[in-house]
Amino acid sequence: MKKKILIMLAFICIAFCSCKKYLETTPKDFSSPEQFYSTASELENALNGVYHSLTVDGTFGRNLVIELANETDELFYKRTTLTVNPMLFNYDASNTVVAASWRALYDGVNRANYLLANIDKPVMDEKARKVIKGEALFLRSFLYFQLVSYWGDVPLMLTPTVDGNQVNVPRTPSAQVYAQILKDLTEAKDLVNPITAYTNNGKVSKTAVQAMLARVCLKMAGYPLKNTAKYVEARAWADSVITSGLHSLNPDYKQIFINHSADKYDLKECIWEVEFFGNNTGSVLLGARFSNQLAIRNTNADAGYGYAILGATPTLFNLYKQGDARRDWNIATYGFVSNNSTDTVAKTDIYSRDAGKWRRQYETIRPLDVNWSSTNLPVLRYADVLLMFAEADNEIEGRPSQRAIDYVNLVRRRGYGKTLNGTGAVSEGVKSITMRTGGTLYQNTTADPLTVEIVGGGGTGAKATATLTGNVVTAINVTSSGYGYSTAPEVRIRNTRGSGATATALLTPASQADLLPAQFASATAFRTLIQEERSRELCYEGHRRNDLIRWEKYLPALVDAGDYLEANAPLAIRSNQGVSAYSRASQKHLLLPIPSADIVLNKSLTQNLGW
Amino acid sequence: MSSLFLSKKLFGRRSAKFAMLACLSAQMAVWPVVSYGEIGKEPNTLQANQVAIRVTGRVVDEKGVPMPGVGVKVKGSPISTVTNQDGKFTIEVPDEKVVLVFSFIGYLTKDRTVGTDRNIEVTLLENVSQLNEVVAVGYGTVARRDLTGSVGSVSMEDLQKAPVRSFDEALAGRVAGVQVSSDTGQPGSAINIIIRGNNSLTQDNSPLYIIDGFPLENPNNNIINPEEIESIEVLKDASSTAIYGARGANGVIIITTKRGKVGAPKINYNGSYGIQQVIREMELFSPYEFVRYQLERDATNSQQSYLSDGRTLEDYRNVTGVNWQDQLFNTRPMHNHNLSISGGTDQTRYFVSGSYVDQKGIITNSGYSRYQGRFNLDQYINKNFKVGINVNYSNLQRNGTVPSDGTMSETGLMFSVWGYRPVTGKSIVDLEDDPIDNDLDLVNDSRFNPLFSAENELRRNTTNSLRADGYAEYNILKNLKLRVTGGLDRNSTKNEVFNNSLTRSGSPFTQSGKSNGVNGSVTLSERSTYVNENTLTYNKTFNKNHRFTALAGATFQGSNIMVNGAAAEKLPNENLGLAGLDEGIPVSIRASESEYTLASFLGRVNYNYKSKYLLTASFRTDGSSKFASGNKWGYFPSAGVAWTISEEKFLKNVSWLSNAKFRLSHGITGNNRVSDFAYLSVISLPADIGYSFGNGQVNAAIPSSLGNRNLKWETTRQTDLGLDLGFFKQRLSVEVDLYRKNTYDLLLQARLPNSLGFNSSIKNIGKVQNEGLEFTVNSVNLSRSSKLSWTTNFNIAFNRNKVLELSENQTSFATFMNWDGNYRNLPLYIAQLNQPMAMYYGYIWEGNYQYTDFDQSGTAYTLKNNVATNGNDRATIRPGDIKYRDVNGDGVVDANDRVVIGNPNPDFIGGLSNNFAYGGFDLNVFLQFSVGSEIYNANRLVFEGMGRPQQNMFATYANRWTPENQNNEYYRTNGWGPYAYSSRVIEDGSFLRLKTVQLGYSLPAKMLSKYKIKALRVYAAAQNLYTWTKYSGFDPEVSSMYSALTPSFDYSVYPRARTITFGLNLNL
Repeated sequence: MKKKILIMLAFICIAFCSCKKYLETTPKDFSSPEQFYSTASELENALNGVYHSLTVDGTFGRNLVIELANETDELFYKRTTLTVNPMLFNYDASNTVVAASWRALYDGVNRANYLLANIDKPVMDEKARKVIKGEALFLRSFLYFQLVSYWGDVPLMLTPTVDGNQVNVPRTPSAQVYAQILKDLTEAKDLVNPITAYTNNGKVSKTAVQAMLARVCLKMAGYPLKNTAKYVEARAWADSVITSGLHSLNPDYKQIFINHSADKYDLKECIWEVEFFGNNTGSVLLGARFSNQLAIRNTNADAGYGYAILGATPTLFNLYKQGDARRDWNIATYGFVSNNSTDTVAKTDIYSRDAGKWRRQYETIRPLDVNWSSTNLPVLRYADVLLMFAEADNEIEGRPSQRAIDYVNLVRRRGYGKTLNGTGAVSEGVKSITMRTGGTLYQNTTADPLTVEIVGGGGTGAKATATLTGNVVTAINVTSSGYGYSTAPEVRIRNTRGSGATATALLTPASQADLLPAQFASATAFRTLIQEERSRELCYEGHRRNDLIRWEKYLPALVDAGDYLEANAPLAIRSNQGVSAYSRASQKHLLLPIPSADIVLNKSLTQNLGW
Repeated sequence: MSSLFLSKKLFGRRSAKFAMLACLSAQMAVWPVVSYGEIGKEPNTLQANQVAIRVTGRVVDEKGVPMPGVGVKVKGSPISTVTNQDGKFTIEVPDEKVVLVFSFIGYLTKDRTVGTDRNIEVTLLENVSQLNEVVAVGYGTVARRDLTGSVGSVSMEDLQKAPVRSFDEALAGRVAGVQVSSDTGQPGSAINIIIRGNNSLTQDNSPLYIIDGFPLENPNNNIINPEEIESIEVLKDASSTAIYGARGANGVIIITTKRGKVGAPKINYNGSYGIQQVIREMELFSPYEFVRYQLERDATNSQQSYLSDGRTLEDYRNVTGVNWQDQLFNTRPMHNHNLSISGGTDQTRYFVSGSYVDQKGIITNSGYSRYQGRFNLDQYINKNFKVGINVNYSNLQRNGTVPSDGTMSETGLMFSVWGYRPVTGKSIVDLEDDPIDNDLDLVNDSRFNPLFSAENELRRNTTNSLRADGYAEYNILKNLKLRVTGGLDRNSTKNEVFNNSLTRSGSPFTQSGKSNGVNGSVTLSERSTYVNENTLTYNKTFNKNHRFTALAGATFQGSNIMVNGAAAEKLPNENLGLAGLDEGIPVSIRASESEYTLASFLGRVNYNYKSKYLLTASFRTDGSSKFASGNKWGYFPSAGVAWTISEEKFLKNVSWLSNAKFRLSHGITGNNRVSDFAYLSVISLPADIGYSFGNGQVNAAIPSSLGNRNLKWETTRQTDLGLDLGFFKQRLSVEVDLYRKNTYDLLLQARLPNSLGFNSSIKNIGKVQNEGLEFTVNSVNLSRSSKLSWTTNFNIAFNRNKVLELSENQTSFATFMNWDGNYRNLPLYIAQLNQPMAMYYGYIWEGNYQYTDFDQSGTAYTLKNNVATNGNDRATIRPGDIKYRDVNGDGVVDANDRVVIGNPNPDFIGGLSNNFAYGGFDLNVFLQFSVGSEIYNANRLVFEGMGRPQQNMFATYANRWTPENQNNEYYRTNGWGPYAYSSRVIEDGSFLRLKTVQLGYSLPAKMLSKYKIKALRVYAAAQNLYTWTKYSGFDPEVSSMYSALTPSFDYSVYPRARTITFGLNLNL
């Protein structure tokens, strides 16, 4: 009997001893941070994770282009239903859009922090490691630049969060956040590859870092830091991009945006883009929502869903002068016949024209999805760099320098279609056509239509119609000026019955796009010009709100835009919630509220003024 | 010899419990039955010099059924025997004056003087007092008399009278302190069982189940055939549950299934057939009211739609509209068939059974079916060694769309049922035959013909479950027994979803259908849990009065789960169904695998002095793989004492008091309901996350969840004070328990500031308290000796739940319900310090704005300056608009005016069961009640005003505010104000339900014996027969998105059914 007990005891003993091992289980379907970051490809994947944080709804997939970037004097909310929406200035600190963006940006920061903390862990090619580190530093700085621009002082997290125990993290003064951004960007500049190493512009390159440095410095020089010394650095960084020789303007303004939709790359014009791809069918979810939110209103799946949740303001429309081709690209001249149609119809008045910068018809992946599109978002364009140079230079010199004027003209000429003939050669359009002789026996019937052909002159695309008085042609009206003309084209007025009418085409003047002397007569005039030019060139790309704030023109611009609509828009447009929303904007809207959830959970946080 | 030793076994009605009795058999010594320790002994015989009288006889129960295993003892002498399998016994007694004592557990002991009879027939009556009943406790059994803790027993006889598919459907109201509620009325809908209140804010609060000794945390209770359950015990206090240590804090439910009994083979058939019908339909607008509302809502468009061709509103007076509810809810059948064969010999006992249940739901195409079989066997290898196995297999299938699924109010099935128009303005349009209503704004409206949805949406969940366990028991010494058990529980579940072109998700007419096309998914999951338990039990009685039982054990349990699934869209050939999934575009592939292990050591000591002073102390240590090293082990001690004061001399002769016992217990239990690797941070590379460099997809690795290396057990400390009273020889017994549970180091999915890069992390933080009072009363109103008998069981429980501490810095936290896009960002529930963990939160509703709130100028009304807005712009507010209280008095109702507006927790819950018998008739009437809880009836947010174009409304809204009807209850058309949760739709959820009624008639045994039928009973049974409630929705027992933080929410649920069945029970 004793023996039996001993056996029992032995059994229990063995059970005890084997327990420790028995309780050591390891996860089978995921890695913990301790296991991860151990190879070069794991670092690459972790870096991709940081890039991914730029594509979500909270960041450039949507909110930082649509909800939080608007509304401004470029775009207004075009819906009659009142919803709680940052674009309507009727939200508070519990707003979910604000919270989603705050969270998405900090998610990205944390991803970058995890990567940077483990950057030295794997044994790998040192060059490749440097590149990854540089990109991670850039991305973290870029995320902080968004945070500090939208919220002001924010908690500055530079190490990964390893547990949830330290929750009370105070806000770091903006100046310190900016200092960190500059430090990291400066370090990143020498680590990343030049853009020539890539065939796409989604990767961060050296000129992207330099251009970003220029933007950060310009922001620091403006409101609220007003550290005007930074203009010098801003100009220097912009200059380093320009003198790198790696970038130039795309001769055709609209092609830039067609490329974004059509998944094509132009590494000269677009220095850095947030890349989106596919139509979110199946398991690949890499699409963007910002473009569908803006796109021309339609619910036809084949033509592409477009919500036109925001529409171009007459303020923006009026900024464009005659001949500026950017207007009719950015503010589409057509809509769809019905809300569910593939057929387009011309739209003429500004109030029925939707934003047209990115057009769904150019997307290459079919079927077009209702909500998601493959359109890339340009974050840094060469045109922006040229304008940043001019702006900083004007502030430093106290007057417009020739180089600054030249850069602005460069941007404008492209906007007016002057560069379509290629670098150096000027492309003109047909400005007008004057009758020389009216001819006889002309008629305009279905059987014998009166046509005007514009041929030769090196260009293409000019169109015109003839006016008859009796049987005599009395006028030719140019309906499209075309482009690429270097000499006046021949005008052929054709009719079977009539004959003898002749006319002469007059080309637009080469200097049409260029600044008028008054526009660079003083630093102030030039400053105003650049502020307008940025809107004309860069509208909807997510810059306007932050630009206006740094120029201290945010609230006045909103008031002007709202007043104009109230005074001029038809009733149906005025009933859109975006119109009355302008008057709700106030000083507190210069910063977003710190999300209330964070205020509750982080005792050290303080709220922004007015919220 | 061999037949003799086994005939002493404790056979009988409660034999399954008796199997577990072994370890405590010494305690049974007080009863003159033969304990295991005496197995194999010759019966005590007379001295050779005495002249013996040989007496034979038979023991039967009230129904005349022979009782094997009854102890027969000569009073004041060691002479004893037990009855054999025919209930017969033979005993030699010294003289005729001798008194024979017949005793059997659960029956009243009977004394009988031998006299001149040499053949004695004795009838034993069941002891209804239950004091002597043996109840299962952790790793053993104990007589109720000797309990120190709080253990509730379910009367299986009563419970099995309910015509239900699974036992948990009938458990509500049966045991004091056990709150049972089903989410909705759908067959297979989740049933939440909470014992003595919720401990954990974010983690699972359901109890631990011990099924035939196998501890399971979340078993599928549908796999058990309720007919096969022998007993259900609910362990409530820490003294009872601490033996289950880290898993005991939520209470323990011990389920023991039937096993074979010694005797000739018994064949039992129980079958029933019945119908289920919807209890209640919601009243909706008539066509007239509908059109009237549409005209008010949007005159321009509605006139075009409804009043073209010269029609007037009056023309709709006599139009019969489509009644969508009538078309969708049907009376449906429920079948139930059980067949079992059981029996056994001295060495071998067996039980084999099979059952089939088919329950069609009251909504088209929904239902639940089960095919189930069980086999168990107990075999003595020799007198000291016994082995047994128990195998159950079930095949379950649940069908039908789930109305409460979805995160948009319009995708809930009931939205389409209630919201679909009763009439169109055109006579040619046949709404019933079209998948969509073409007049709707299809971009913004997801309404879809509900008949099509129910008919065509495939939602099928198939489970194959095998549960097998075995044991071996060996008596090492006379008083020392080793028991080794092993068990395996394997559940394979297949979840199928298919949306063909006639469903919302796959229809070419809907927005989602355009995007998805025909789509479907299959998910397979397989969970295997194994257990090995080894216990040693030592029993000893010292000096006759000091009984001592000790238990020691080591147990090992592990579980692993594997989930694999695939989803695809745009399936080109919908006729293939899910078999054609491979032709579609893959959307997602699921694969996951995980495991946990648990090793435990346990011990318990029971000391019993004359059943007068009782002491129980237990200790368990659990080691779990779910925590990081250093925190793996948790220690859970408990102690309980009881004093049976009625056994004291000064009370022993008080005739009316048959029992009085005080109990006091205290102990620590735990909760380990966290995911298997919650302590680790996770880096994942999800398939849907990535980046596209140069239009090529690359994978992205992200830190996706934050671990916590310091994670440890959630701990509950519970004190229980109990009082058991029995009067009039236990004809009336009362049990009272007062308890306080403090749960601390809560395993809490604590929210984090988002600036940390994570929004939550599991932490041990927070404190919750539950206090309560429970009463159970059993009474024999009319005893069985009279022709009419009547017994009553009543229980009532009061629980008060309170949050004592939350995450650091938090004094409250709100919970948001994801049932509708417009309400998703508004908090509905709040957990505040010193308040119950779930309270409703929102605006106080104050009726409507009336003319007196406005300054009038001409026909324009301007809200007076001293009257607050309802959150809308002041200028837009009109008389008849909804009005809320401006709590902070700033003139504007906004987030700062939200306050606690209601309490979803009941004040008290309970049940009342009555059994009547008269001749061959028996009647069971069971009432369940819950009082004081409030329900958030979100249906009324959607169907009382506002709503989408062409949406029907509840009939109540016809009484809305108009200038002629300045009603203060229903706001005017279009006067709904901003989206808000308010007290307007909070309703009293109190109810008294006539839950189960069964009327049976047993045919006289004499008549049946001719046909060799032992018993035949026919019956009619009803479930949910009638409910008394003020609640205006389908049913007050509702919780469509249940969690501890979000109880009693009602939106688009499957309505509850009333079941009426007819059955027969046949014994051969």
